[in-house]
Amino acid sequence: MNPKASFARLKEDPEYQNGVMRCIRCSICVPRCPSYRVYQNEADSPRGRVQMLRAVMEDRLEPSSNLEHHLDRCLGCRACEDVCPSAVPYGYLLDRARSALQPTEHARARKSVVRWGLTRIAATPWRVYWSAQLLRLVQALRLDRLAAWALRKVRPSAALRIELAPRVRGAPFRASEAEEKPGAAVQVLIGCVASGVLGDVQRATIRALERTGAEVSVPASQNCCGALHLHAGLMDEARELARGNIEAFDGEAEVCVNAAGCRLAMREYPSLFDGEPTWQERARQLVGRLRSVTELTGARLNGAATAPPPTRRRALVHEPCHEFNVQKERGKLEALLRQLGYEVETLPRGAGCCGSAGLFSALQPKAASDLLDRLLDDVQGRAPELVVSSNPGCQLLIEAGLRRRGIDLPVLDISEVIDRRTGGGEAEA
Amino acid sequence: MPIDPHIAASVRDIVGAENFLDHPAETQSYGFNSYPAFTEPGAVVMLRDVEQVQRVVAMLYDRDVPMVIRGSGTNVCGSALTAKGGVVLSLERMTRILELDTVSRFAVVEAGASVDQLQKLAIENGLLFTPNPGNVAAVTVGGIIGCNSSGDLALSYGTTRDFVLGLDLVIHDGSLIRLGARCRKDVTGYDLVRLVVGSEGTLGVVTQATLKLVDKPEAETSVLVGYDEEQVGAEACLALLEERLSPVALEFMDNQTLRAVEAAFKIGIPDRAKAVVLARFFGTREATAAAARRAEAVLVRAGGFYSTTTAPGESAEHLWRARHWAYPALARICPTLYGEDIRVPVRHFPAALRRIYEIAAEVGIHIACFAHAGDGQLHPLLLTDDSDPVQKERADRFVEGVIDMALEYGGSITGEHGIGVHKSRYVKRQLDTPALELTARVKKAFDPKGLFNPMIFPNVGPVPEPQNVRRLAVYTL
Repeated sequence: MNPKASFARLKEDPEYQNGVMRCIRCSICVPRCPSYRVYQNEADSPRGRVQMLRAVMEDRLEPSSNLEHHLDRCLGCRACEDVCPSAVPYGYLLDRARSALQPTEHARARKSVVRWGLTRIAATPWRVYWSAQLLRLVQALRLDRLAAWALRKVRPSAALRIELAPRVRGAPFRASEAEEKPGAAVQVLIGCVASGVLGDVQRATIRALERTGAEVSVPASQNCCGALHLHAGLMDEARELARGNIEAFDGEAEVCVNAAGCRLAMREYPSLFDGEPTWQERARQLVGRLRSVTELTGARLNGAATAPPPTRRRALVHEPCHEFNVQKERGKLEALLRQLGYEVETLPRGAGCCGSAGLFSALQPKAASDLLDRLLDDVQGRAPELVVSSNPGCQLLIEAGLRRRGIDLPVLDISEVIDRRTGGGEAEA
Repeated sequence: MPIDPHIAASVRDIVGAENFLDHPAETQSYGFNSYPAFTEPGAVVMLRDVEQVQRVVAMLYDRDVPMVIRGSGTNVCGSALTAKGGVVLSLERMTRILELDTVSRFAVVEAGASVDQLQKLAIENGLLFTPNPGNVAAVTVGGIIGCNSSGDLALSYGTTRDFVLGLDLVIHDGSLIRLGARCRKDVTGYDLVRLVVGSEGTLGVVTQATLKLVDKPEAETSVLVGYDEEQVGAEACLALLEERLSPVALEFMDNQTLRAVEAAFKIGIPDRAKAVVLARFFGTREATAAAARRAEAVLVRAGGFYSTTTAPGESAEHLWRARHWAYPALARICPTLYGEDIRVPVRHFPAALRRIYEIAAEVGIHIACFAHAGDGQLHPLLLTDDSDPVQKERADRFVEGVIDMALEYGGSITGEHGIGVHKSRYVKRQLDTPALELTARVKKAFDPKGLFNPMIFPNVGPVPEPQNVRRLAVYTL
């Protein structure tokens, strides 16, 4: 379907149409928007984008490559939604608009690579596993550094992209590594990128849950949450992945999703099934059981609080945008770390998005690096001994940024911290 | 309508291709304000410094291209909408605070700097910049100068006009005129600074300003009191003013506003409340605590059934944010909002409020109303749908009704939002013919061809029809 026809269909969606109309252009969102901060162009602000969508809806504007360009520059951090007094459902609008906009000529080649990666690799666990193994090998042989060095003059953006790419930490994790236990109280989503690149984080999550008394199961039939697909406009693929997870996590167990971005995508599964009431109801049922690792372990950490103090005590928390802006899970990481014996400081929201934002850092490396630099300046100014996040994308990008600056500062997921403080012990935490 | 390619090339030469936008998706992103009308600029020029402003203005003026100056596009009466074939001069990248003198108490600021940025810097240095429009996070210094905006603290501190000590203005031929001084007293020649403040970009481009700062008080307190009836709340405001407690802000929100605000911010106002009055005091800890206690007693005695007071040092930010963001919160109820902006001598505030509801009932239109009650500044908001000709006609009748009412009370058709495309046709109801003629002569002295913001008074051009097509009637009041 051509973009014009796809947008015409969106006019039939009352949530979309009313969402667009509800923006009265007050601009309260604009100063909070990281992409506006980088590009300083109204078309790269949430207000500007919503007004472009309105112009398309009212046939004042053709859906074009230029519109696509500005929608692509959105990080999807949804800081705009957090402050919008008019309750404009920005994330909903963005995902639908991206889905309606088929890649235009100028972006087709770049996007076809992304789409191929998302549909052919991320959606299939064994391909994620072997791709991560391959990447691990490349990084072990330092071929990535060699490539970045070789490209730094001729293709600086490509070199930057390589430098900001995630570094595989530990062996990739496969669902088969853990057990699927029917009737277990907690089921764990291991994710796609997170399981491949941050296998150790998944292992730490499972150990942390078990040590705090939960019986844990890792459903073998689970797949990627679909967040990346949704944000790349692959609505149908995202819906199929959601269906797979709704089946895989069927039942009564609490579902631990340690990645904030994945958890948000799953919270929004019901909106993918308009017109399919049975699936929508099953999606809602799953949403009611979603938990973060912080929520599941927090109440059971009394023993850890009495353990000897950690060697690296001064922890700096980076609250991921999705957790802060949409799920409003504020202050929870900080509270948990205090419980674990850390001196904690949380990065103020002025620092905003780190620039990771799903595939943003891969697609817009320059802008991502601008945002990352601002955040890292703030991090360095506070001189912590440890940075803690709860989203794999943020963790990996902050880690890459620190590595680029030659700074030796561990960046851990909260589950790794819990794991180490409850007996998984490594010196730095 | 795109601009002439030769002109476009000349502008690109001055500002660089990356700072010249002419694709429809981008130009439409600059074709709106927070007023419900949409225009299609021929191009957008992102300016970085005063020299670029001078060169671009001189070149465009020479080629007869209409211009409109835009900061953050938050205006609610359409003061920065582009005429056909016109160009938007965007100052959003001129955001520097150039100087802060904490002894002489002034700041020199570029026009695109956000007011919020300036206010925060002032507070860090023990000072205040009190012009405080509701949407302070987004508005720019140039914007509040253009519209002479004020906000809640104007009750005690005055409007933006009272804070501009000097400014730099680029006029039609690109020359830079430095007006005013860096001191609070200056009677050298005509007060052209005060002329330019509030001129809504019709005289030239303000590129930077020297702004007065005042001392930050030691403490502040706030009092919120709820009422069963709107009229009782309005009378209570006068009762409080009679007490001579010098509130720095005295605000009013009606039932419809409260419902939207409560949905958006959940500040815990009981459902029973049909109106609230919110007052704020600055001073020493003791004085503000005592003033708040007395104010609460007076406001409750005047008929309030619910009250809450914040002590010195306790944050009342949630209450004030709810008040400041009432306007966009009302978009939850209805997305086509016209923010009216009439002012009456404060003695007539309760009567004017009553009359506003009567006019709304007479013409058959839904409204919400909030007010800077302490200085008689009322903001009835029309909750309407422009795509419905019946509602459109009723909305026009309502606007005319409240304007005439404000003038009968010796008030003004606009207190702080500005004239814009919304009010240009009504100016002649307030200003008589000699005043209009003099205004036209002043305009011509600055802008002989009438190219600066030609859509609005005093150069009333074609007013764009709002393109506001809403096909679903799902919003019910």
